[in-house]
Amino acid sequence: MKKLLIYFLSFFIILSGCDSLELEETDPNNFKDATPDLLIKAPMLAQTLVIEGELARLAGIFSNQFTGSDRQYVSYNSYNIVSGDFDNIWGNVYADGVAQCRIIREKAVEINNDELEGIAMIIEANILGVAAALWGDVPNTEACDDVEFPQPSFDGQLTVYNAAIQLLNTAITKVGGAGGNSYGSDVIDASVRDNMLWTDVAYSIQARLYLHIGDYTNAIASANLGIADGDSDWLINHDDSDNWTDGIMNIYWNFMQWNRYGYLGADDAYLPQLLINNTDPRYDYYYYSGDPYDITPFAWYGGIFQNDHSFPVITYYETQLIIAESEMVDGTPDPAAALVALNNVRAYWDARLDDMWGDDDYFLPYLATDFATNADLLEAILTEKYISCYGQLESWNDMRRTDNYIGIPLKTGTTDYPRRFPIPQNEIDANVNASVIDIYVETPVNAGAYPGL
Amino acid sequence: MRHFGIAPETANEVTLTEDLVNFAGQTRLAGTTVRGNIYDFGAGDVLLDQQWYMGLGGGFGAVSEDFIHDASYVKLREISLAYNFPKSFASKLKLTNLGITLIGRNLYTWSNFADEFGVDPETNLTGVSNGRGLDYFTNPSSKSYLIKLSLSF
Repeated sequence: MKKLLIYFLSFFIILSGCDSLELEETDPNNFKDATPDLLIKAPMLAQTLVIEGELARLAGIFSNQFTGSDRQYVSYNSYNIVSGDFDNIWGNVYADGVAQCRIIREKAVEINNDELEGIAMIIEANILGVAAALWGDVPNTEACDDVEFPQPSFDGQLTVYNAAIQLLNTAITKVGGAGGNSYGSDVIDASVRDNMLWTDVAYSIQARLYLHIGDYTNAIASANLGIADGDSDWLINHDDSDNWTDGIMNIYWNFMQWNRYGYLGADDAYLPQLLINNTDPRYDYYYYSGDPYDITPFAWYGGIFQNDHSFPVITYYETQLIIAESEMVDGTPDPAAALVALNNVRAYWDARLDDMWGDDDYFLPYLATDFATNADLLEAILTEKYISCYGQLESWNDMRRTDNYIGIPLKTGTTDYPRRFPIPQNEIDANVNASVIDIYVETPVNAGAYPGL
Repeated sequence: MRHFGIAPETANEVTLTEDLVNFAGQTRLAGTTVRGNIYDFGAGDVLLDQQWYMGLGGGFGAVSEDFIHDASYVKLREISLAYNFPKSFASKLKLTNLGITLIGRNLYTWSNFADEFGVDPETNLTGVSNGRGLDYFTNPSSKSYLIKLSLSF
């Protein structure tokens, strides 16, 4: 018996002698870490999926720029969504986005790289702002720390917005003169890399967040320091050298031409009809129509969602439209200042269409006399934003925020439009702090009446 | 299958005896013959037509409970009838044994599922996997007849 015990014990001693962990860590095919300058591309790509993927398509259907035409998308067209639809994207927001930004920030501090730390902060703030806008209360302070907070609490929506705004303030002091060529050069579109400045981008995102929470004075202040011209937008690179490379090409194209042909249409959507009624030349860039009854978002050569076309994170035109709107709703309206900003956007689109289709007067500046009342001007501004931000989350964000000021019609058979996305099922299943909230309940920052009304 | 209008229930035609509202909120007048069904979800009869079957009622929608069915079944998997020829006959052919068997496979299925919803309760889109019983454009198990001739030397 004693002998047996000795054999038994020695077996364990031998086992504990070889350190299996060490073997794994030195496996060249299974590396577990990377330098922060390489890691930074991960949250940039996660952010791309969040703002250009499924959520943007849903937001586009809800704001009536698209139509859900086939299979799952037919249900989306009558606002039938369930919490399970959001499991994957929640992972992109937190695990691939916010968590990575926080890891990069720590690593950047270790190597004393302020620029990189600041850029990670900007991406984190933007993703958090998007999450707060879409879901309302979301985890932030206890997020992405599964050891200490396996079940993170949900921070109030306004708290998250303010945290993101503060994070951008810190980021602005860190990034210095860094531009689009520093870090993630192949993730940012080549056309803007030389001009894009991280400080300007941060201010523009900050302006958007201030606008969301109704702080119009600060929205104007931040926007004035934001993106200064149309060549300095933050654009996601999709240059696939026309090889239709999965993973590089425009995500709308990927969805509409590559993976899910026919799901996303625009037949009964409002935006194409609005463009046709306004004889807006952008119709030919935004939509493709075989005949009047077969309109689809233009995901083909020459269209906005061409395979190698970039997609915006934050733009000059949005920044100008934030100024224009804020000037009209912040205390006493300032129509003159608002008109200047609105005309800046018209000039931007005129130049852009000139570049694409040759010189022409696509958009002439508005005159003050074009608008009988301030309400008319505000409606023109919000309509322009609805058109300019085609396919972007902001279209639906604005619809909810302004209590649908421009009167976007609802989809057939519905009586109200969704005011938020449901908290994903995975989170509800795994986190006691997650709560089920009806999608027709306004998020806290949108609950009050829009001051423009 | 309902989404594509090829499930048996979507082939039904009904003539309305009263004005009914469909999923899109459109009213269809009494006397109209439409492809679809009349159903009472609890608040009176409504018309389930293409608007319903392509949307929430189509299986791609947000609600999945409607698409979970009892698929218990009894299947006549294989039946065979064998005849061994007499030894005397076999030995004339220099064989120790000669037999013939008639076999029929998957001849009949007793199942509510097959009657009401689909073709075969054994069907599964995802093949050999954890997902079971997903009825989506998969062929049923084939019915087959075999003749087996056994020769023993």
